[in-house]
Amino acid sequence: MTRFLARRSVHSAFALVGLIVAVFFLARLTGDPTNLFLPLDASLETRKEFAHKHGFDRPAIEQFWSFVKDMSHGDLGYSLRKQRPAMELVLEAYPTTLKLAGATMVIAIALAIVIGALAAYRPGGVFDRISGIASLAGASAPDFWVAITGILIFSVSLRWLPTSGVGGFPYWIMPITVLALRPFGLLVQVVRSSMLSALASAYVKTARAKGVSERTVIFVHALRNACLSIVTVAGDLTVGLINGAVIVETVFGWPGVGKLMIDSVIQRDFPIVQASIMLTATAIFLLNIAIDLIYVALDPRIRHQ
Amino acid sequence: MPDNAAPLLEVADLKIEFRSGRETVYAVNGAGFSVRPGETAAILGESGSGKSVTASAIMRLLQCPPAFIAGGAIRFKGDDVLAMPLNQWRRRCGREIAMVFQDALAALNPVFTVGWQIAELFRAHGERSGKKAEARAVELLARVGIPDPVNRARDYPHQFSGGMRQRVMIAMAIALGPDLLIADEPTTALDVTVQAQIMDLLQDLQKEIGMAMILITHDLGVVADVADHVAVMYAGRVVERGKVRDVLGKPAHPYTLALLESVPQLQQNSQSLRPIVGSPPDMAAPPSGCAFHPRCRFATGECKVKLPPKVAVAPGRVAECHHAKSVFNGG
Ligand SMILES: Nc1ncnc2c1ncn2[C@@H]1O[C@H](COP(=O)(O)OP(=O)(O)OP(=O)(O)O)[C@@H](O)[C@H]1O
Ligand code: SF4
Ligand SMILES: [Mg+2]
Repeated sequence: MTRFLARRSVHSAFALVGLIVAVFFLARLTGDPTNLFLPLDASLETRKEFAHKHGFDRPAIEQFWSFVKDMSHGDLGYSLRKQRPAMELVLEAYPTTLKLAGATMVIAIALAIVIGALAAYRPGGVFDRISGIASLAGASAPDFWVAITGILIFSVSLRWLPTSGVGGFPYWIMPITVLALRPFGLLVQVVRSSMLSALASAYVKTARAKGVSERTVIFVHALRNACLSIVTVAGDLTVGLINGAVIVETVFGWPGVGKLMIDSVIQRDFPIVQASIMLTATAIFLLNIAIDLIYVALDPRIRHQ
Repeated sequence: MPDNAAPLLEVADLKIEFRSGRETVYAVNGAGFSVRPGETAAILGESGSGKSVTASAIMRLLQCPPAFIAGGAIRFKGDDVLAMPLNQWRRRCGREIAMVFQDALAALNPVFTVGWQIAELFRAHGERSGKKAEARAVELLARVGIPDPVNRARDYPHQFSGGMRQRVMIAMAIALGPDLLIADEPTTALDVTVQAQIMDLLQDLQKEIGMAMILITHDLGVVADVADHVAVMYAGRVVERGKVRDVLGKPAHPYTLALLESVPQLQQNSQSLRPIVGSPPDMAAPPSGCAFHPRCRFATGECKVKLPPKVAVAPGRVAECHHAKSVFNGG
């Protein structure tokens, strides 16, 4: 178990290094940020001074080494635009993203388990067919389209919900709904198919032959086994969300890390881009370890290997 | 057990089909047999003859659809099993009738400890105290011969050897002292030496509890060793039934005869080993008349078109064959 985690950590460390290198140089391929930050009529001296101050006049490889040196002291640089440490800005935005992702996944998983399990209990039945169509629609609806349609209907026409921003409960409804659609749709299908095979298994027959109630058969014997594949898929989907739900955060003006990243890319605010990618990568790494631990806790066969 | 005791279980003219979009598989086509209290009845037949489907139907474990009970009746202690509400039957499962499955690894839930799975039986049948249920589970593990039962109860099925897993299955099945135990090929997945141990255990427990047993197998040796009565199944029908000694000593059905001739240690009167020619029928399109006719050396024109009647060749001996009498009298 410890060996497994150690191996996993080494792999992730390598991936993180590769990611940092790629992001650093790719960002600089998009051009010199000087022109974006200074007014159009700034003099050549001011431009040179700005570039020199931030090191943009040096060769990229030199810039990279000083970036690595700073990073080893925990310094990820200053935001060019906001004049604050980049990490601070990212850490401010991150909880907002995490809250949205957490609420979304809790709702998507809970709904998917109930609906998927009921669909699997009578395959081919009316409920199964309706939920099949609904989950397919949810899994394949483009989120920007749903988000904009939602704003048009519920905010602009009906005026029931705010268009964007953060605040009380009403502000959460549309972002969560739009964000939950895809995970919900995919998870219903995963729950359904894993419940179908669990309900057809020999151990379910044994349980019934023992005289165990049908409710226990479904929600204890079958669901507990179906959880194994549900956890795997739900974990992957969560990883997708803590990346920052770029589109949803942008459309709904949700001040999370996805929006911060997009804004910084557009403004070529490199330190923020780098800091948010590093933090996201770390979060994904931690989440993956958590998923592995949950999986191991759920499946005794892996635990004893 | 006297031959005229009221049967504990009676299966009459049972017909089970699996219907899918394109085809219908006629898995059981009018099978009938009965089991008296305390006796061991073997169901003997080659792979695909409908043994497991019949057992599942008795326990009401078939998934319907695709399975359909197309006819017949199952009576347990005189009650119509197929007609009673399912939850009522479920409450009797485990307590009055129990089943041991062939593949214990698949039949035990991989994510729960064996102690939990055995204790669940007590909880499902009214034991409120979880502690007591666990303690009884440990007792049972000891009773079926699992060493170190206190610790083993905390292990998961994959941590047991094949033989020990089957012991766990058996512990679960006999926990409440059922009147009838259905054992569906309980030893097929095991090593030969372990097979004998498991059969011994089953027989010991059967005597102790005084339960009847349906032993499903395709092993003639096991039938000869442990069963009182045997029902020989072919293509979803019971083609011959009677006392084991009588049936194996003097078969009345060509299929039973062929089975005997294909097994080395049991043949007494014929000199050469004769494997059964041909292959088992496709149950989506079973042969007309007698389903055995494409492989039967006694077949005549009649066999191809007419379903053979049940012929009583001797008291307590029935065979479904047009020529049962002549086979019985020296075929
Ligand atoms: N779920 C199912 N759908 C379709 N056909 C099935 C299904 N289950 C069983 N059958 C068919 O029913 C027939 C009888 O199967 P059954 O499992 O009872 O055989 P068996 O006598 O137990 O054989 P074995 O010795 O291999 O266990 C077979 O032809 C099988 O293909
Ligand atoms: S009825 Fe005919 S084909 Fe069938 S077993 Fe008897 S002799 Fe053979
Ligand atoms: Mg079988």
